[in-house]
Amino acid sequence: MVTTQRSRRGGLFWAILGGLVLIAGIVAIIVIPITGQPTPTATPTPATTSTSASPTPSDSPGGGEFVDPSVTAQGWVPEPITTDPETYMRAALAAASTFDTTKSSRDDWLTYLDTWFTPDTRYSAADQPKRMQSAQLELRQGVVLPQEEWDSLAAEDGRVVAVVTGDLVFVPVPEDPTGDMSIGTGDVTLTYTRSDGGDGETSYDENVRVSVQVLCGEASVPTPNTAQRAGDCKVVRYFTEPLEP
Amino acid sequence: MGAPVAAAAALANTRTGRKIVTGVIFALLLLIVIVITPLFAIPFVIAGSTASAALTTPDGAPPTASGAWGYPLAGPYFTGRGFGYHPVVGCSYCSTNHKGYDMAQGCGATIFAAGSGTVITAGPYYGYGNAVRIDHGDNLVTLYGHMQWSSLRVTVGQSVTAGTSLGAEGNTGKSFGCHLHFEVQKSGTPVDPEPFMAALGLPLR
Repeated sequence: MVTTQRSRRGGLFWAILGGLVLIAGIVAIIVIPITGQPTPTATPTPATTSTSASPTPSDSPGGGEFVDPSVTAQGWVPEPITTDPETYMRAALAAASTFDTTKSSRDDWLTYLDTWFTPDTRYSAADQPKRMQSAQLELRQGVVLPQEEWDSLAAEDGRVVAVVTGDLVFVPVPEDPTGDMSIGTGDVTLTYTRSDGGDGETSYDENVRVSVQVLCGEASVPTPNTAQRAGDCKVVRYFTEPLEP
Repeated sequence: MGAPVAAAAALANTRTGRKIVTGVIFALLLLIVIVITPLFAIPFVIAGSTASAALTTPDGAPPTASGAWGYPLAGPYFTGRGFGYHPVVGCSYCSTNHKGYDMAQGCGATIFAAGSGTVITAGPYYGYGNAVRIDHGDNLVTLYGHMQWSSLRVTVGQSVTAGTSLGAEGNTGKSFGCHLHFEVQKSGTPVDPEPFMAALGLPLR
């Protein structure tokens, strides 16, 4: 008798438990669609992907010496040691848009680009430092990628490699009695590479036309403690718009 | 008539009988719940799916339509760079040629298909970030760029109509600040979206 009652109590217990589980399931079916977040669509295959290693921006024309070849590890273009204006201009135009947001900050990159500069010899010795600072400020505020775009690229682990394509167009520098300064304008292809939101990367090119003024003469001020010497080419300024003849 | 009543009375007068009656009542209630659950669960599921696809709109209203075409955003929006020569102020290393028309309502706003067609791109697309392209036939393609990652509601090959929600306004790809890059391509070449949409009775502003 006792065994029978236990058996009945056990059956009733399992019936109630089963009912509760069933009700919980029904409640879940009702509640989840109401409170659940939208299910994102699976990310499709990227239109273009790149699995190549980090670009090496050290493919400087001429293949000669550099002020600091190790900067390629930061994703930057090394400054060539040369007296040839065109070789130097090509490197300078590439350097102003070659960087890797995963390897350096924008400030560090711009501080590095500052080392490419030399004072404009058309101004008095007293004015030259101020003029050079103005040119470096112009680089930050009117030439290179703005901070907002850098941040957008950095948010997707982006990098840019710039390459000068085609011939340079040269313009003489007014009021330069030495003739050591020149302005070069060229087409630059910017290859952007950034995350595709998943594990891959997507790359695309943009083309710009930009100008730089360089000094290749005895008045150039070399980067201290390097193999660079007075007379080697240095940047005087970048321009906010291309200068055509 | 008397027999069932007598049986019920007998059951109610014993402990075992009361247990049996309780069990039967419970089983009947459970059966009723199971039977009627689909009647309200299915509408809820459908409503839930609709809410998921709708994302966020200013007032829940669909975008204004004109015939088979409609705006890619519902309600008022801000405008940014237009089509053509629009240099980025303070950046000589930025492209000056803008191939589309920038519109913005805010991060997460729903982006809608402007017309009917087939989705040919749904995902990362060059500098457009997370983008959707729709082939409308007759060599006409519309592009919706910079949408939030994981927000797309369509897949490649899917047929859509004007007003189909595509994803959420975002800041992916070559973009700073949430906005929609709306581009119209004719035979593979970007054309100005403003006269294109105006000709459809949907002037952009």
